[in-house]
Amino acid sequence: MGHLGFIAEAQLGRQRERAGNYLYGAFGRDFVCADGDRVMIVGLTQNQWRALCDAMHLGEAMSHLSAELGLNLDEEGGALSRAPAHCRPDRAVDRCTPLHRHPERVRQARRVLGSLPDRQPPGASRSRLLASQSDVQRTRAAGSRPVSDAAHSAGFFSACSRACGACADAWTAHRGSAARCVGAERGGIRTIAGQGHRGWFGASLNVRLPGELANQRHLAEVPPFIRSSKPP
Amino acid sequence: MSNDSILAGLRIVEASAFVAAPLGGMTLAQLGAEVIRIDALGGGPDYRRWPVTDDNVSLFWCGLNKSKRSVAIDIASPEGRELAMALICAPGDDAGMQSACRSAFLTGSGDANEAVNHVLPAWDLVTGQMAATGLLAAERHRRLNGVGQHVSSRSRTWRWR
Repeated sequence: MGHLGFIAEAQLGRQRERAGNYLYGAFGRDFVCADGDRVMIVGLTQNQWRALCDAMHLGEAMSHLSAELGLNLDEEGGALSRAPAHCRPDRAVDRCTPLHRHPERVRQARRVLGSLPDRQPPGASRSRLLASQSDVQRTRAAGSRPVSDAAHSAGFFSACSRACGACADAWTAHRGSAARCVGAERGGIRTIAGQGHRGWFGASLNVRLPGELANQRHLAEVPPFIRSSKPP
Repeated sequence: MSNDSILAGLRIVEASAFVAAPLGGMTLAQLGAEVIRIDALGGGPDYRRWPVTDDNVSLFWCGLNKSKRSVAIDIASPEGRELAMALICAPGDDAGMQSACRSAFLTGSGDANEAVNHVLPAWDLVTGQMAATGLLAAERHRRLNGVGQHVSSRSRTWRWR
């Protein structure tokens, strides 16, 4: 433990909080899939983090967030720990030592990031709220229910920053879930499906699907949602 | 390092990041080996790994690289590779240590469908120690038989339930 910096950290008077499945100092957390399995997604190095952002079409969103916060989220172990930055806003902000010196940034971060539920499947009310505030309802696949309904019944909701019509055929109803994993590959990272609207964004993603699950319907737990400074 | 140390005279060239290999190298360094890290210009991917001080000095990195020396080489360039090769092949009682180790922060219980992030990267710690032990065994083999060995100690730390 001492070799890993724990003792030195304690000597500096730092109190490290319990962080659950959030990776300390970099992006990492687990997601629950519709079938109950969990996947752990980590972007430890800069390359991994960037690849993750690319795969989730979150590059632009992260740039936006960086600008809003005045922080470099690309930086390894930078001013703001990445994972909490967009997954666990309140605790993230609280935990980030540099931010403690900038209370105005803390307030700004809280405002930007919003107060989202922490580590629990998003409630139907939130899903419905999000669906009503975005334009995902328009995205339908033949024979499927409206996404908002499916998301409501499943307690899941997915959206991405890319308003792509191509996502439409990825949406379908499956055991109350609202998405199908298209083009999943063993060890691959894919955006499953999504539709966003004016500042609301997020993504579903799926990693390391076993081969037999490739191209099967699959939906990750609602990943990070971030609200821009201009809510819809 | 004192000449009385058991590994005095053994030179280790280490190209590593994160936990396993740096820990293995440090174990050998603390037994008296001369450990020389080959680092990327500006530091490797774990150079700023948390926890860090207010000055952004990584306590993690410092903790795992005690008693070592370091040379920053751009091994992407031919000149850099030549330098690294010269360092590795320099006359002496050498051994090399390299790891493409992974982050190790996930474990899970047997029956619960829940993954658990572990703050102690146990597999990496074990791997590092095994690497150090294996390297010493290989070095003994070389002394006895005059032939070196390639020791592989891989840190497979992603556990999926």
